[in-house]
Formats: sequence, C-alpha cells, structure tokens
Amino acid sequence: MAAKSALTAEAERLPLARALAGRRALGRLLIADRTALAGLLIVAIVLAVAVAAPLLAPHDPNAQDVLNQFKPPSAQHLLGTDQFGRDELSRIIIGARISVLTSLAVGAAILVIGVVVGTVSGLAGGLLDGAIMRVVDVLLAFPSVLLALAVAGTLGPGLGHLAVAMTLVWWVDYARLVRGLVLGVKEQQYIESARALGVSGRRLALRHVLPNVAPPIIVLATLQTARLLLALAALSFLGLGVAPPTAEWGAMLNDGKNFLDTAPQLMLYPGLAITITALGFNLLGEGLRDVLDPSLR
Amino acid sequence: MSDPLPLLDVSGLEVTFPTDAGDVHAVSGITLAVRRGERVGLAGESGSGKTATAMAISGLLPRSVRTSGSIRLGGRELTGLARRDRRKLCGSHIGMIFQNPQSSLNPALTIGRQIAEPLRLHLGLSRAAARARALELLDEVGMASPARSFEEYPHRFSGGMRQRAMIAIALSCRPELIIADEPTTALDVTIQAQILELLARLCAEHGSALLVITHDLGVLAGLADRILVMYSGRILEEGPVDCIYDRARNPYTQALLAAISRIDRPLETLRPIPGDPPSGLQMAGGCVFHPRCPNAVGICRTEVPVLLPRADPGHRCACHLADQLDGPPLDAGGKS
Repeated sequence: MAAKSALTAEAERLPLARALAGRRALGRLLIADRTALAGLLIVAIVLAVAVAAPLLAPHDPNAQDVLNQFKPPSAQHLLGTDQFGRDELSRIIIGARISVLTSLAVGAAILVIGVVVGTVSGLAGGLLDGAIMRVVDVLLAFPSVLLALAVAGTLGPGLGHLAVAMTLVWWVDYARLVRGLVLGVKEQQYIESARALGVSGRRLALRHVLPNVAPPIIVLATLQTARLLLALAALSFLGLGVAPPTAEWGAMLNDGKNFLDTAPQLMLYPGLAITITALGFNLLGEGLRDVLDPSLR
Repeated sequence: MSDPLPLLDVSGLEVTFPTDAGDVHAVSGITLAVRRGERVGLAGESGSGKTATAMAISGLLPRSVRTSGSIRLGGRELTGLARRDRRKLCGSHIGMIFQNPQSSLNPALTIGRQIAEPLRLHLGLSRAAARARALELLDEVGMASPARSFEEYPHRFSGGMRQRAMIAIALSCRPELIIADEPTTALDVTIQAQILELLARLCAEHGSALLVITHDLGVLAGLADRILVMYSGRILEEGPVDCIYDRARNPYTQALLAAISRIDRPLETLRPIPGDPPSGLQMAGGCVFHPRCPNAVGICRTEVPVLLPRADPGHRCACHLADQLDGPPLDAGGKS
C-alpha cells in the first residue's frame, strides 16, 4: 500500500488550518484546478447517469432479441447489441447504477467503520489499541481481493453478500490511516487545552479531533471509491455478485470474454466505462489533495 | 499563611514520571498556598518541575505518572477524586493558559466556538447565550471587533490576539484559579507587557486567583504578589515580590535575578548559571542546587536544607548559608 503510506506522510504535514479555513472557497478552488475539474465532471456525469439510469436507457437492458445478435452500432442501437441481442448502451447505463452505487455504498460503510474504529483505537491507546491494530494487521496481511473472494464465497452469491464481504475487508485502510492521524493530533497542545477545559470522550473525538483529520480522509475516500469500483468489477468478473441477466460492468466483461476474438467491443465498452469512472474518481482525489494541501501547489 | 483557608493548598506534593531509565522525580514534596484573588509566581528553569506542579494541580498528568501529597481547592481534596470528577473542575474552577497560543487553539474550529465550548459544557448555556457571553469576553480581552473575531479561525490571528483568545477561554466560566504556564514566553516583547497587564486586570475584575509559571523573574515583577522559586522539584525560596527582588537569600534566586536581561545595564553584567539542571534521574544528595552553587560548602553536599522563615514576613529560604551570604555571590563562575 505505497499510496496509503504516502497519503499518511502527506497528511502529517498538511497545513490543516489553511485548508479548512478555505472551506468556503473549496468549490472555487476545485474548479480552478484542472485535474479536479476533469475528475469532478466525470464523476458528476457518471453519478447522474447512475441515478437516472432507468430514464436514460433507450431499451430494456434485459430484453433479448435473438435475431439481432452481435450487431454493430446503428441508429437504433448506438453501441450495438450483445450475444443475446440486448442493447449494449442500455446495459452500460443500467450497469452504472449497480457498479457505481454499490461502490459508493460500500465506500460509505467502510468510511464510517474505519473512522470510528481508527478514532477509538487512536484515542484509547493501550490494550484496546493494540488489540484493534492486530486485527487490522491480520486483515492487511491477506490480499484484499482474495479475502473478499473467500468471504463472499462463504456467504454465497448475490450482490448484497458481495457488498458485505467488501465492507468487511476494506475498512482496515481507513482504520490505519485515521488511527495514525489521530495519534498525531492527540498529542497537539490544543487537544491538551481542550482537556484542560474539561472536554473529554465523544465530544473530544467528534468536535476537536475529527475536524483536524478530515482533509486526508476526504482524499482517501475519493481514491478508495475508484479502488472499490475496480475491485467490484474484478469480483463480478470472477462470478461473484450479481446473477445473470442483471447488467453490471464486471459481469458484462465476464460475458464478453467468450467472444473476445469475434466481438471484442463487448469487453471494450464495459472496460472503458470502468476505466473512465475510476479515472474520474482518481482525478477528483488528486485534485482534492492538491486543493486541500496548499503546500503541494 | 495567615489566611485560615487558602483557595489552593498544596502540601507534600510529589510527582514521579516512570521512564525506561528509572523514575524521574519531577516534584519532590513541595508545599504552596494561593489565597483567593492572590497572584502568585512560580519561577524556575526548565526542568525545575514547575509545569509538572501545574499539571498535577489541574489533574492533566497522564495516568502513568505517580503523584502523592495533598491538593486542596477551596477546602476540597482533589487527589482522591475520580478522573471524571477532576475533569469537571477543569475549565469551571481552574482555568489554564498555556505557553504557546500558536498551538493551544484548535486550528479547525473558529475562535467563537472555542470560547463558547466551556460555557455550554460547564454552565449549560444555550447556543445563543454562549455566543452572547463569548462576544462579551472577546470585547473584555480587547478584541477590536468581537463579532468578526468570533467567526475567525485561529491562524488569522497574531500571537498576541491568540493569547487574548486563550485568556478569554480560561476566564469564560469565572474560575477561582487561573494557572498560566509561561503565558508570554512565545510572544514578542512588546506584546508581553500588554498580555500580562490584561491577565492581571481581568483576574482582579473576575476575582480569580492567578498562578503564573515562568522561567523569567522579570515577568513577575509587576504581576505577582508573591514569588516561589523552584529548582529540581523543590522550593528553594519564597516571599513577597519585593523581598525576592531586593533581599533574595538563596544563591539560586540570586543567580536567576542576575540572569534577567536588562536594557539599562551592559551585556557583561548578564550572568548565566553554569551547568545544567539535574535530570531528576540521579539526584545528588544534600541541597539540590549544590553542584552548580558557587558558594557550596561541605554541609550542602550532605544535608537537605529546609525552608526557614527569614526576617521579612512571609519570606522563607532553604539554604544552609542564608545567614552568612550577603547579596549576590561575587563569583558566579564556580565549577561544579
């Protein structure tokens, strides 16, 4: 996890005050930053498509038409049709819904778990911290996709089970990062001052510690969404997650691989969709990091 | 102490930090009292245990640190209290001002929120009432436009303004005791005087007693009623402020006074104290200051001097040679 440790290192020298005080100007800065703007546009478009998918899809994504298999792009089917004569564009659009929204849902779940566990671990210290971090170490020792594969395999097929498996595996990154950040912030004089005012427990964590560790967490959340999207596609490609005929980008890749030599576009389209979306989230993350950390500009 | 019941009554306080190299005795049995509304200075070099004393009084020392002795605030014994009850006193009965206003304010929260916090926490004020009171406090500490300062983040403030904000926070719940740990060390000299004057005036107006901790005896001149001089975890001399300045009997106090830089004297008269303060790990026997004392004689190495009353009321000094020495030592360059 080279990216993660670099993030942690960066986070430690973030001039958080400036970053946060510029909150009101954040939107403006994001637009001024070309990387961020590109990412923001891609993410906005993908999200809009995902949310409005049933309205945008020109055809029923699951309607088979055996007379029109492997059709090239035409006015009626803008991206052509697949091996069952289903409209490829409609499947990509509907697939955005499952792929992107599932990634976001899992992303939100691991964010909450990771931040809670990391903060508790960092603030509590001692035995509890040691115990939590050993669990994290164990989970990090496994390749995450393999571990998710094992968990999802145990739970059985289904998108819900896959999401649960991913959540159980991926929260550790946040926990690690947040704990490290909290450890740094907790030694600060202003936390001592807050304690000297009688602030403690949850109030100390929520109102005094978390605002100071938020920027790097926001950046990680964005980058993490791209990773989750790729992982979800990979796991679906391996046959976990959605059951046919549901359109999902990873599953579509899997379907298309049998026709790689005759109809390579069936792998190309979902592949491009995954790549562009992941790129969008990555660009947004990079841009956010630049905007939130003025020392890099 | 003529006062039957001082506000703060510390007796036999010991603070021990366990380290890998052994126990460090930061404070070895000191006794001090602060009366209501009184302004007391606690002076000493870094490592003399003055900050450890302050932290012990406010209950902010880490759990691993051992303390013993008695700390009474308004007649109530604090040492046996649960941490949670101790914490309730923080902010409400004891206000703290730290050395570095740059790092004592939370960079992610507005000044207003940080002043309102103790008001809401301890006094249970509503958001609006806390805001109104915070604006009053900002005005009291001399902020030009309280309403604007309320919304600002700390990094927009100069060091002096931040320390003013810290004072506002410390005073917010009208605590009986304010502990200021090196309140002006991180500030420009021109600002120092302003902040000290403000601190003294507001404490008087609020009726709060003030315990100022500093390494700079010059800071205490116009501020404190009484001064205690601490070295290596012990109090070596205490007395009313003019007594300490004019008739200090302890060689350490005299050395500290000689180390104050003064604009009206040539630089050559500034005399550093040779050597370093002891680490607290290996304590020499006898008087704690004897390895660096220019006057040390045989008894200083073997017997711990006790604080004995001097001619002036309230003046006490712990030095075997207090009766024999007159004025500052002639040769401060003695080798250990």
